[in-house]
Amino acid sequence: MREKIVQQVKQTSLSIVQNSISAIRRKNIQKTGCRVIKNNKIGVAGGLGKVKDEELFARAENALEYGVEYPVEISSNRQLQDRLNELSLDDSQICAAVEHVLDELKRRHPDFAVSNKVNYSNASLRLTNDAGLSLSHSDSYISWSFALKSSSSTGIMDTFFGIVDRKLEPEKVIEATSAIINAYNNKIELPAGELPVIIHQSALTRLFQRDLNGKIVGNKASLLQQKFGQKVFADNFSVEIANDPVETFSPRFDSEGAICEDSLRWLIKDGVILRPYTDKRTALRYGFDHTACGEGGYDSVPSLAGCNMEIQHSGKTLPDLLPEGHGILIAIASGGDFTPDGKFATPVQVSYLTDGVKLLGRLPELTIKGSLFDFFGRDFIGVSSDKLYLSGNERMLVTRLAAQKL
Amino acid sequence: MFDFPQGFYSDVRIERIYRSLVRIEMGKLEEVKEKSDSGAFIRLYDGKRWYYASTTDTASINQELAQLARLADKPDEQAISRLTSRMEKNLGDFCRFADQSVAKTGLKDKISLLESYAGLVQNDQEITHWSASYSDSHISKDFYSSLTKADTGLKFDTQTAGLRLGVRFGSGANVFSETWCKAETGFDQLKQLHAEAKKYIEQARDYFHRAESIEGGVYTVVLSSLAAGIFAHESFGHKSEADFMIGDTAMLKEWQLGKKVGSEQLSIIDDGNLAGSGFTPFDDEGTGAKRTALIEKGILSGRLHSSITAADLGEAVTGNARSIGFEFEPIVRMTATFIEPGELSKDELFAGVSRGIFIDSVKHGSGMSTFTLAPSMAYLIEDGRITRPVRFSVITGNVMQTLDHIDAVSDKLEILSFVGGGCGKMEQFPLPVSFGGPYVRVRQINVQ
Repeated sequence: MREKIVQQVKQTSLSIVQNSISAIRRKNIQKTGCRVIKNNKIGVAGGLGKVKDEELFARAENALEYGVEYPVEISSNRQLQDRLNELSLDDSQICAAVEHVLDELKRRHPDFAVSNKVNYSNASLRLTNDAGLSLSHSDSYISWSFALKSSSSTGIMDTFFGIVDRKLEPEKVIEATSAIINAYNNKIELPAGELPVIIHQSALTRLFQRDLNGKIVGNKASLLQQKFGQKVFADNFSVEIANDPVETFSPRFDSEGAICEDSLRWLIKDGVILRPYTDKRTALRYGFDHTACGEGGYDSVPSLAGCNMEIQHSGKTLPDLLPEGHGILIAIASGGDFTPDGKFATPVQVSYLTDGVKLLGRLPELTIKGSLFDFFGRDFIGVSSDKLYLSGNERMLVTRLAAQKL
Repeated sequence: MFDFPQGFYSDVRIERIYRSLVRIEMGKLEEVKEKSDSGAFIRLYDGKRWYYASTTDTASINQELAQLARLADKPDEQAISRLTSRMEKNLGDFCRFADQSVAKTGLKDKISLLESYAGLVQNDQEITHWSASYSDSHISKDFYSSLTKADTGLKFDTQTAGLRLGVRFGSGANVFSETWCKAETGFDQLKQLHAEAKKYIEQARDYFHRAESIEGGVYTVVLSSLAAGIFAHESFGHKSEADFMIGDTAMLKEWQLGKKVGSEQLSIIDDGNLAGSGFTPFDDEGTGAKRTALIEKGILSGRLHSSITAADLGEAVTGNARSIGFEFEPIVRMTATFIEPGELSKDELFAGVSRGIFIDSVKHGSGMSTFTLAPSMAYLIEDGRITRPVRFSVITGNVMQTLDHIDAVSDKLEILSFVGGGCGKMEQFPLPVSFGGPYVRVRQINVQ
C-alpha cells in the first residue's frame, strides 16, 4: 500500500516595524511525503520541491526494515475536496491594504507603534493512496498579527491584536485595533465583587489535550482516569472534536486520511466524560473508539499528539453570558500552568473590562486561578455563539475564576 | 556565481539540511525517519525595504534575484551604504562537522542507542507513561553576497545530536512528569550518558514520592544552572534584542548602555562560539560569532544585533541575525546566553541561605516586565543545606528588581544544550539555542 501527501504553501509575508512595512517575503514551497505500508509495518520518506515520487517511495520501502509497527486499517475509497481558497490577492493589493491600516492607526494613535507581521497564505494539502483515497484541502487567508506598544513604554510589547480571516477587511482591522488601543490607554480599577472571566477556550482546555489523549488514558496515567462515564462537569458543558475546516483553518481529515464519525465526536457530553481522542494505532492498541486525530508532518509516521477540540457553544451571545453586565477579557496571560490535580493559575499581564461588545478599559495586572472541576463545573457559564472580532474573531469561554490584583 | 542586481545590496544563503529522528514510546518503536533537503533564502535591500524569496529550486536563484530587484524601489545608495559599511565580508570554508556528520551514522545504530536509554525506564512499575527520542541535524550553509562577489563564498556548518527521555510517575491527581534531555555536537558523545540519565530519573522518582506543598511567601532562591539560564534568556535576553528598539526612543532611553541594571555580581553574556545547540559560528548574514556582554558587573553594556539594527543604532554587528531555516529571514536572536560565574563555591553559596528554595529544574519560564519560572523539581534549603523536595506553582517578580537582588553566583559555569524544542520569536520557532550559568542566589523572590 502506498500513500502520498503533497503540501504546498504560497505566502506573501510583510514585516512591520513602527507602522511601516520593512520587508516583503515571498515563498512557494512544496513538500512531498510518501508512505509504504506492508505486513503491518510502515516506512516514510519526504522531500522538498521537485522530487521524484518513485525515489521517495523507494526510500519509504527501504525504511520498512526498521520495523515500525502500523497494523491498522488503511483509509480507502473516499473522495473529498474542500476548497476555501476564494481570497485571491496580489502583492500590491496586500501592501496597499496594510499600508492603509498602518497609516490610519498612526494618524489615530500617534503615540502607539504597530509592529510584527501580516501574512497572506495559500495552503493546500492532498492525501492519496492506492486504495482509492483522494482527499484535498485548500485554503487562503490573511493573518494580521500586531504587537502594539505605547511610545512611552519600555517593554517589548504592551498589547496585541491578532486575527486570521478569509476576507480582506482593513477597516475592521483598523476599528478593532483602535478599540484595543483606546481601551489600553484607559486604565481602570478592578471592580469590586466577582466578575466572570472571558478567555480563549484553548487556555483552559489544554489540560484535556494531555489528560484525554488516548495514550495517556490507555496507560492509566490520566487525571481523569477514574472518571470516564461519570458526570464530572456542568450539565451544559460538552467538548467535541473540531474538524470543520471553515472554523479550524485545517483539513477536515487527519494525517491518516480519516474523518471523525459524527457519533464519536463528543469527548465530553453534558458534563459526562465519554472517550479519549485517538489516532488509529492508539485506538487499536487500547481498544478505544477511533476519533481520527492522527497528526504528524508531511514526512512523518502518523501519530497522536493533540487534537482540535472545542467546547459546544451555548447559543447565547457574549453579552447574554455576562449576568452582571460586565466581564474580564483576558488578552495576555503568560507564565501560568495547571498542577497535576487540575488547579490552574496564571498571571494576567493585560486584561480589559468589557460588556461583551466593547472594551471599556484596561484592568491592572492580575492573577487568575481556579480548579478544572469548578471552572468547567459549578462555575461554568458558557461559550458565546457569537465571535468577538476584538479577540481573534473567536467564540469566547465565560466562566468564573478567582481574579486578584497583583 | 550569482547575478547580484546592480546598485542594491543582496545576498544568497543556501542550506543543506540533514535530519533524523527515532522515537520509542512505552516500548514500541513509533517512528524512524531521516531526510536530506536543500533550499535557498535570497535577500535584496533597496535602502528602504528588504525583499526576500525562499525557494527549494536552487537553480532559480538568479531569476529570484532579478524578480526581487523588479519589486524594489530605486536603490538608495546612502542608506545601503549605512548597512553595508557594518557588514563583515567573511569568506572561506569553516565547516567542521563534515567528517563526523551524523548523516554518516546509520539509523540502526541510532535505534540501538535509543533502545539502550529506553531500557532505563522500560518495565518500571512506577512509571505510567514514558517516551524516548533521538534526534539530530547537520546543517551546512553557503553564503554569498553582493559585497564580496566571490565564487567561493562563506561555508560553515552546525551539528546537534540529542536524546530526550520523558517519564510520568503515578496516575490520577498524583502524577509527576519530568524530562531528561541532553544534546551534544556528535553521535558518539551520547553513548556514555546512561548513568547521568538514570540518576536524573531516580531524582524524579524521589521527588514524586516525597515532595510536599510549601507555603507561598518571600524567599531567598538559589537557581540551578538551568534555571539561571532560562531566567537570563527569557527575562533579560529578549529585551537585549535590538530589533525591539528600532525607532523607539523610550526603549533606547531605558536601555541606554552604561546604565546600572543589576547587582555587581551579575554579568550576562551571549556567545555563539560556544559548542552546543546555540553554536552559531556565523550568523545568516555571514557575520562571525561574537562574545557580547549584555550586562557586565551590573552595568548594561551591549545588545544583540543584525546588520540593519546595528546600522539603525550606530553600533557594531554581533553575529545574532538568525533564522530557523531557509524559509525565513534572519532576525535578531540569541545564541548561547548565560550568567557568568563568580568566585564562591557551590557550598559557600548555599551556606548563605538560612531558609530558602533551590530550583533545580524548570517546566517553563516567561518574562515581560514581570517574570515567572514554573519549577519542576524544587527543594527547601535550611541552614545552608538542601533538606527536602517541595512543590509550588511559580516564582515571580519584577525583572529589573530581581536583577538587582542577585547577591551571589557560584564559580562553575554549565552551558546546557537541548533537542526537541528551542526559542520562539514571532513566527519563527523553534530556533536552537543554549543557555546556562553557575548557581545563582537571589534575595526576596516571591514564591506562589
